[in-house]
Amino acid sequence: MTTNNRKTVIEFSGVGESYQSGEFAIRGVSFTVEEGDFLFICGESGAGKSTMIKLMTGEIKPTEGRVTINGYNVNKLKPGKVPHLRRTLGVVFQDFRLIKKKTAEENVAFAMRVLGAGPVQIRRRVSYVMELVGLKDKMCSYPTELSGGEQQRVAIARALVNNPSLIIADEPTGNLDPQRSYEIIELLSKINQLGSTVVVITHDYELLRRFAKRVIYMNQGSLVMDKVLRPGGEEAQ
Amino acid sequence: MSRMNRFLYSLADGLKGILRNLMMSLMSFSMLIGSLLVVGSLSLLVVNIDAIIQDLGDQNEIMVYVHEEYDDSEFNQISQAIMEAEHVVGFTFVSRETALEEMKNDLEEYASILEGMEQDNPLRDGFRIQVDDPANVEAVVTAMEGVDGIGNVEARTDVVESFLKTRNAVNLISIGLMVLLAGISTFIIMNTIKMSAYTRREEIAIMRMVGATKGTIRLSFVTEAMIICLCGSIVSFFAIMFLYQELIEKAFSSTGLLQAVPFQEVWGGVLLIFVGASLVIGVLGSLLSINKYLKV
Repeated sequence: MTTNNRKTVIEFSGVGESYQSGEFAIRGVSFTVEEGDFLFICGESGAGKSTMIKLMTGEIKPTEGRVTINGYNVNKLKPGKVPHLRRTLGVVFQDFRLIKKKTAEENVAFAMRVLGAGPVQIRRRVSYVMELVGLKDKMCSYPTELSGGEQQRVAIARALVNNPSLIIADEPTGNLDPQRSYEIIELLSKINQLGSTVVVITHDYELLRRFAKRVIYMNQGSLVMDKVLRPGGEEAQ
Repeated sequence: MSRMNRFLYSLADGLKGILRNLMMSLMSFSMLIGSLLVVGSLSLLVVNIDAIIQDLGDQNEIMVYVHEEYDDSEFNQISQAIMEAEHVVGFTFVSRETALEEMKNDLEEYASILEGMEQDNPLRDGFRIQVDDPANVEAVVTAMEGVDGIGNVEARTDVVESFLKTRNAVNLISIGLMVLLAGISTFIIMNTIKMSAYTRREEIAIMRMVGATKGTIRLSFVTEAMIICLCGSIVSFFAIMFLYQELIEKAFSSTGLLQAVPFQEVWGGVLLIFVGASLVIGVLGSLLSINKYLKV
């Protein structure tokens, strides 16, 4: 599906997800994200943000409505096809999820290696993304030798290395101080400007005020606001 | 290229996994060697018992003696009955004179006892019958005892029977032990791979998240188990070769009566069983233990 010649990367259409108890984690959520967009999804704990990530990565299927990610209909996605969807995504986590026994370079290379890339291709691409995230000089450092901000940059490099069309960052600044948080969102904005679609889940409202981006606000499982903000937090439309 | 890369990475990961859990890997390795040595020893024992039975079978003869007085017609009837009997593969007539000559040859040292017997030969004419299988000797003996004109039947059924019983018992013990040891080995391999998967659970989660298939993830653990098992089977093979040649073959030769089946004749089968069994144990053990960690 395309809008204004731009491909729809994420489409949530009347999406609901309920627990076994019957209680809904999210309900009636509809929105689309197009190629090259930058989107913040925010809300308090229990608003349904994590459920949305699980739906986007094919970890769960919606109990209501339809979810389409990069052309993959998650509702009908067979277990064997989930890896194919995930190869089009780059996921960044709050807790970085770096392998402690591997250097920064090895952590990033690992994501390519497991998909069967060759050594030359890996070396070239890893070097490029490490430079992009500003850690070319820390390639041989182990995660424990890096600051929180640097570790998150490595995690972003790992998410980028397989050249995914969509980057999903789940609370990427949750473990960082305000300055490092700002730098991480700056980096994600830069990646967005290079052509990747970026979705950032956060509950840090200060970041929303500082970046003029589209924001979806979730409250108790429902989408209550979908607006583009101006710097300072005012609504642009 | 991509598949080759993935295979090479799995191989490297497998080796790293072994080094990471060296103690468990060594335990699996030792257990597998122990199991294969027991199973291999029992299999070789069966091979040797079979060879002895076969050897007995080759000389497997029944002697039937005819009544002292018989005419041509009775002789023909007896010959016909032997020829038509089931499981008989050949027979020859042994006259009382020939039998005495043979006895003299066998008892060369006591020739004096047999002196003068030519004049009053106590032996009787008979037939030497060859049977197709030691297991059928008893049946042929029974058949011959029912033929008119035959006075006495002699066969070494007791020896053959005892060997057959031993072989069957060893076979049963072997199968039981094989199942038991295969079960224990699989269990230990499973625990080794589980521990390896546990220490690499973060890696597995990342692999799943970047789009690695379950098959790719499994491959590195199956490779790890297969490396342990293949090394175990090769070490076991050389150990059993050494033990067999140095102990069993020499012990058999020292008896002067029996000859063990040379290892050169059975090495292919032993290697095939060792490698095949260990690979089955490795693949089964790793596949059964890894599933829990693939649910991301």
